[in-house]
Amino acid sequence: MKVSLTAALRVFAVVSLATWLCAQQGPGKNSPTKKSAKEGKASASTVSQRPLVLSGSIPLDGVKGRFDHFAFGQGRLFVSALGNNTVEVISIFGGIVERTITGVPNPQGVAFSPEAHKLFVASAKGKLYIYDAESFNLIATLDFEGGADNLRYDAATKRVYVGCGDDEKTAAIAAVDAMTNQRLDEEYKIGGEPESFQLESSGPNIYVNITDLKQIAVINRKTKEITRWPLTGLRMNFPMALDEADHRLFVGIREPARLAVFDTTSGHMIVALPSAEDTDDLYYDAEHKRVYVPGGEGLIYVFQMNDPDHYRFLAKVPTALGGRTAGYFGRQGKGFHRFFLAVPASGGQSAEVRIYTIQE
Amino acid sequence: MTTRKLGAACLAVLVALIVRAGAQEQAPSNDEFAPLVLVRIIPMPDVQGRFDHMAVDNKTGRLYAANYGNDSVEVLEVQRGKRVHSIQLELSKPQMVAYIPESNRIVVSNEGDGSCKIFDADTYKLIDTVKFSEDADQLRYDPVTKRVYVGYGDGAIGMFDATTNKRIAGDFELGAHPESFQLEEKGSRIFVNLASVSQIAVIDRNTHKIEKWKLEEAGTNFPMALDEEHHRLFVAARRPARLLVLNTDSGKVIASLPGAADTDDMAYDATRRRIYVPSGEGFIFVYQQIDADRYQRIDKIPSAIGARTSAYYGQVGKHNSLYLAIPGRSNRGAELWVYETRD
Repeated sequence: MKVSLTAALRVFAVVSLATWLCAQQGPGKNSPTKKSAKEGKASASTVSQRPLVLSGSIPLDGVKGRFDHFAFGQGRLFVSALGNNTVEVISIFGGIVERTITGVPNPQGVAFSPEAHKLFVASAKGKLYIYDAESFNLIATLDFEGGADNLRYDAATKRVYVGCGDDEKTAAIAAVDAMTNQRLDEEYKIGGEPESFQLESSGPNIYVNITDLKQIAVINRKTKEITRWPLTGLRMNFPMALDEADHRLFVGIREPARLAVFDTTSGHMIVALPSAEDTDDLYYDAEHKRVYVPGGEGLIYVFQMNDPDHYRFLAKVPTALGGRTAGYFGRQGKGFHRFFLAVPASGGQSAEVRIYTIQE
Repeated sequence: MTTRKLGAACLAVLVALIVRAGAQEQAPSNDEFAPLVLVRIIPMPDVQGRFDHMAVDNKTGRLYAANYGNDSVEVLEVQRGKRVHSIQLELSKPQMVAYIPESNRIVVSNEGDGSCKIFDADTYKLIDTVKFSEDADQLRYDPVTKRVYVGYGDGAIGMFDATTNKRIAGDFELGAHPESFQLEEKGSRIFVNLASVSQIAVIDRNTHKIEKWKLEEAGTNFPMALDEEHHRLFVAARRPARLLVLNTDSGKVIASLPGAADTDDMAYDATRRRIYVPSGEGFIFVYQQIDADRYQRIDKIPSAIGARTSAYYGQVGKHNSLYLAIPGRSNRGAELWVYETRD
């Protein structure tokens, strides 16, 4: 309804008067009192119990279905909209969808190479799509039997590692030269479909979750040897994050829902903590020494590393059903420290990327 | 007396209901006793992207909102409740708008090319461009000297003459990107938030001396407001989220209160002695200044996720309004929310 300016003014004059009259009758709920004025004194406790605070949302109108993984580069977030067959290119500072890449059937992993200035998109339908990161024109495609899933970019060698294949014969971690778009001879057959994997930057290892084999495979890129850490009592290891400085590997387990922490020097599991259900991504925040585990059940579990051998559950942040894939890429320009979560469309509500501000 | 009081109370309730009905579905809550009451929502249905800082021409009631993500400045007529124009030419990641009443012009700072673009506030025609090396961000207009102060780069505060649009020599080098800054009116100082190093730089415009106050308890200080009368400076820190109150004579923090998360603007209401801090977490924190040394948070008013930038000009005629930019969200376009302050 419309309220004219004069009417509005009159209204406020009256309301203000009435409020003032009420205030004369006694202290209202907002009246400052001496007792509560204590709050104004400096307080010692400044650590927030809310490690992630929802502080923004980028609507993705018309994007249907499930989301998969994220990549980041040059102020842009690349989000695989698996069910929508698109990759959404989002400016994180502008809070806007800059572009939608179409024509990728079931995109899963995405990787950005600043050196090659290219975007790599893995399709579950068995192709790697390579785009120019300015025009987003398709430059090349490469075939991967059994589907291409997770991607990792190694800046040191300018290679994109591709988790590919879906059975004993085809399952591998393959490598592509980001500069020439050529598939390299470097390939590691791992005997079971690879889920999340992580590259060491200070060492030769690649850690790979092999869900079907209930294993973590450790590939030594120098010796080409593969070591296997079996999981006992834990199944469905999907997401993974690496803390190289402390030699720790974090693995998200779905059955039962656990965050498992491994010592990468020994391969021993240090602890398995109750965690979010239905996980597909997890991240380690080296600055706060925290692990963020989003779960499709609609919660982000946050864990605090007290020291590399001790962890505590810090908080459960309510999100939305299906919010299981996310992006965390450390601190960006002007102190911008955010965690991004993909929330699929549901019940008339559009899909969105939620922005959580990381708190102390 | 009783009848009058009852009458006034009834009227107040009725009025509150009408206002509520007007904001139905839109306003998450509108407590009629809250220190800020939402009175108007101006839709900007097709505007996407993150809003940055805003300026208002209080004579015409026209509001200019920089939209960083959309490379635009949205022009709204608050009284008519309408968006009237979108300035899109020549802008590259605009961050702030300043209104120059004498010439009826607006200045828009740009991160993209480091420029300040000067437009006619009525015709929106580009009049001039003032170049800075990079990342032109916060703007303050000093009507006494007719100078525009510009925070830019990594970093300094530069100046240009608002009449000639020529740069004035003598930039104040700060060594870090300046975030919000405030000019003293009665004194010669400029207080500047250096968020990346958690410091406040204090510039003396006469002597050109620069002092720096280090914030210990909380930092990453973006927004700032000044209470010159009581010698108090208010800073909203992000790490951790605190409201800090500093004595401008000593540089000492004299109060620290729990703050809002993800802040980018704040304002001091000298009439009611209150501090308003909007935040991206979807609340406006309201603090009462009991006296110069004592502060209390009196309300936390729900707004909308991402609503972190606002404009506030104190008492202007009959109005004492806080303008809040609401970015577009799932199933809902961008909006400007207008709050009136209340005793």
